[in-house]
Amino acid sequence: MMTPSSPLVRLVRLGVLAFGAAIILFPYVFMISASLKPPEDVFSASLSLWPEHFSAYENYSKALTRIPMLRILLNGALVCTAIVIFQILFALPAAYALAKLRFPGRGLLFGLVMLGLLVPIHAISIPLYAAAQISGLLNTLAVLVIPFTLSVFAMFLFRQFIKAMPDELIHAARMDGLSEAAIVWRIILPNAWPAASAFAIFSVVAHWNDLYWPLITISKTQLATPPLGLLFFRSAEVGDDYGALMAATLIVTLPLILFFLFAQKLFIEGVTMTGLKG
Amino acid sequence: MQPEATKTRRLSRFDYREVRAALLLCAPTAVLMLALLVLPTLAVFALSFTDAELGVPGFQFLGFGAYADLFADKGFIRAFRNTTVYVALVAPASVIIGLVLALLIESEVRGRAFFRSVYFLPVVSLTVAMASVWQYLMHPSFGPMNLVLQRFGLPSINWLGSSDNVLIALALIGIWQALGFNLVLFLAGLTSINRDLYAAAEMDGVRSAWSRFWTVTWPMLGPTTLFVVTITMINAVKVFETVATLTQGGPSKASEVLLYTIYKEGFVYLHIGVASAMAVVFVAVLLVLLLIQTKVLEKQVHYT
Amino acid sequence: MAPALALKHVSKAFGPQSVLRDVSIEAEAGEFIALVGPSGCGKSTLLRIAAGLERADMGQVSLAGTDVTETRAADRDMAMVFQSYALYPHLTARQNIALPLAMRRLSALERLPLMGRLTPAARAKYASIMADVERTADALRITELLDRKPGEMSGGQRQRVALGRAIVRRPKAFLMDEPLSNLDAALRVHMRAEIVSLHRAAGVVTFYVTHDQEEALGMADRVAVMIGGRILQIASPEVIYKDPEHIDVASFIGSPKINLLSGKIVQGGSLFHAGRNLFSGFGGPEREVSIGIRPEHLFLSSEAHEGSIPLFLERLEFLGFEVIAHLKDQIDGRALIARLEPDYASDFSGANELFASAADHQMMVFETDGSRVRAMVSDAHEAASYAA
Repeated sequence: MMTPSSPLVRLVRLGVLAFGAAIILFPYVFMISASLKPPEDVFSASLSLWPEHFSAYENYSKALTRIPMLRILLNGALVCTAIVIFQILFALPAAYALAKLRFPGRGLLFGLVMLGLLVPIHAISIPLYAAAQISGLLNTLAVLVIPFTLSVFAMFLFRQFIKAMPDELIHAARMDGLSEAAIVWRIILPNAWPAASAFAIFSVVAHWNDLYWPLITISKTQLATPPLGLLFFRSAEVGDDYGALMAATLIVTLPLILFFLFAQKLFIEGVTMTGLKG
Repeated sequence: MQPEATKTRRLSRFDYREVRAALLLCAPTAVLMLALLVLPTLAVFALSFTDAELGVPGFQFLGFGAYADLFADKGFIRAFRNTTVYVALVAPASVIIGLVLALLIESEVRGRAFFRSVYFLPVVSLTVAMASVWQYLMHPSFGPMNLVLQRFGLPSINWLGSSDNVLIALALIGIWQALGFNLVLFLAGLTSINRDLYAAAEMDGVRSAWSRFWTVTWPMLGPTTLFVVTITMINAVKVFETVATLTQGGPSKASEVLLYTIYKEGFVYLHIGVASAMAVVFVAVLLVLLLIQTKVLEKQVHYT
Repeated sequence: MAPALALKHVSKAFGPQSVLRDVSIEAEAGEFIALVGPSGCGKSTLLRIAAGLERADMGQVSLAGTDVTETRAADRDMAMVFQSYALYPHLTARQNIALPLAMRRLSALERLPLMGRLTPAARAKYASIMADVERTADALRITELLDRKPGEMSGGQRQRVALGRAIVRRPKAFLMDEPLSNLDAALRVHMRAEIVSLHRAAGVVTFYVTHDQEEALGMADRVAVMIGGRILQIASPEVIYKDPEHIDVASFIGSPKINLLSGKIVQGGSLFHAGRNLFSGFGGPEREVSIGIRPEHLFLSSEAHEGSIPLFLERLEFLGFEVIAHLKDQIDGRALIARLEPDYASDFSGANELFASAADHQMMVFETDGSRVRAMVSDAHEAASYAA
């Protein structure tokens, strides 16, 4: 900026930001602290962060054993990965066709994309559930993946991105003899990497977090995803064992947070890209 | 040898090869769309006019009477009202606070990345998990929030347990979670503003930060603001995880929100006809939100 | 009288990178000074320091004798035209041009959109502002554009609106940062003339930054050549072109670029190139030098004569109104360029060897450190040619 801010202004600004950051971190701090405390410490109604009696072992082992925690985390990872792969697999070719090819029905397809953007999975959950029940897919990992393999958001995002790519790139590929399918996977995908990774992050965060669909389709703890698993944990808990609950929440939250901290730039760029195109 | 038939090319707008390729590329998606989007949407629409129940054979077609019943249903009206209150609490607060924080972070040269990451943490934290943490924080007797209030000599608040406060408590959690996302979006918008505009404003005599904001920053943030407001409101209308985890619609149905009610009607009480009607209304609400915002705000948005 | 706009001993570094080194320029009232140099050499930074948008690490800025180094840009009463025009995209041309007037003449309350115009005093001020805006728009011939937004205008129109915004408040100085760089060539030439005539009409001191040396020479009263963060020479366009003080100035100014030959000054003051004695009159010890000859001053002939330089003729490039001869020095292999009249050039079309010479006063000699060295003038005729 032109005139650098006076030190006082800067101090106030930093102060406000630090205060805000403290509020944001408030839950995490107490989550960690409580996960180390035994019930008596939790109930003792003190604001001290360090536990009187160190109970980490008890809390964390409860968290890991009362429900098959590691299995649940694995389910989450598998389901999210499968979803992203299928989403890109189906959406990218269609987005390319929408963006660069001319064919009858293109308008209709795009209209359906807009429709899909409007209708969230929750609204059509009833018929989808009925279909899952009839085909015997309830309580499988497949049922957690299949409804989400269609991502109109991916189609929309990729279409915008591909539209901005120069036509010459594609003409050159055609002259080199590549089929349209080859163009999609050999030319478009590498060049659309920023959009693809942005979308992947978006999708992983959304589906890792999803409670609604697993709640209605899964009842066996073995097959739960992290949000559902945590809900099962809560109901399996006897009394207010907050220590163990906090331990469980920490375990379940950690993977994505670690992923975020290591790939911060990727996350932030992903969000801003979806924002700019949105 | 037969003479080559003269090829009369039909005047077609489309290249056969291109069309064939496109249709092949779109085929899988089209099938998925039919199965996962079009048919279910039609099914929901159809079901909404009935009083079907899962597991009960046979149902009656009610026509628009189904909707009339719905709008007369007190439970539904309450869900509608609760959701509106929740959105009214969460959306403006998280947008405005997000903007203010973005402005502060943007003028801060050092520590920008640090603050941005800290504020973004809630966005990548599992909602169900953090809701549980907030439950602990908001516990009436030993939750740290009330302990802090007591430290300052203020009375304890029954956050989640009182029907007067529960929506506010849920809104607090919602704002906490949405802030980071809005902040990052606003930051992106702010950094994309042409620096020369600020220089020109300074030369024109725009002196105070307040005037700078209204002369340059706010108008140029138009598209970003539109996007942030839209996304925030839509996400607020879709609130579910916190309610399902913490309150299950209570206490005394004070936190029954639209999605939770749909869930209960459809999957707990198995009244899929009613639930479908609610789902249609739900989508209609989202559609209206989208339309209002694009129409009204687009007039004032300036794309350079 | 104090200079209208002066920068004294201005230095600026961004971190370890030194961008401006002890730069001083003093401009008189109404002067048009072009600040020219290759991209990235600090010209824009200097302009922004003059405007108050950047702070110098060292040095002073003064406007009409008053030191404004500590004054903020908004209070300096200078106007700036940007390369990117920097028009407010959400305002019409009228509002864009009116803004600086509104900021200065109206109070904060009066600037509010609807309520500002409640009092008759406020309404009178608005009317006078609009009158000024319309007068300026008239002078720039953009009256029909006043109600359009920048997004609805072409580049040239936007530039005129940006000029209007600068002119309308009659500042004490104009600062222009490559305002024509984003326009296409034909429009650029046209706008140059417009800016010059606007400047004459306003009679206000102007600093004009450009990387286009042709633009600088064509528009300015004086040209300041800035290379590597330093001002190498400030002089009229003619002097800059004909009598540069530094080899970098000679190389940067003039298109096609000046020819540079290797040379040597020997004991006795003679200038040699590749063993040929060109002319005499230099003082100082024996040393290596560079000889600069502008393409239009290279006189070619198919016969050798005393002091002429043998060259290979690589090819002739026909440009219509002139012919460019691409040549190569036979001794040191350097590429040279000569500009020829078409008729004259036709004599050489078959040849592959030519001999070049130039008049003594048209050969510019530079030391190895770049500074210009001149022969001691004994001839009154030569002295006259130096006075250009």
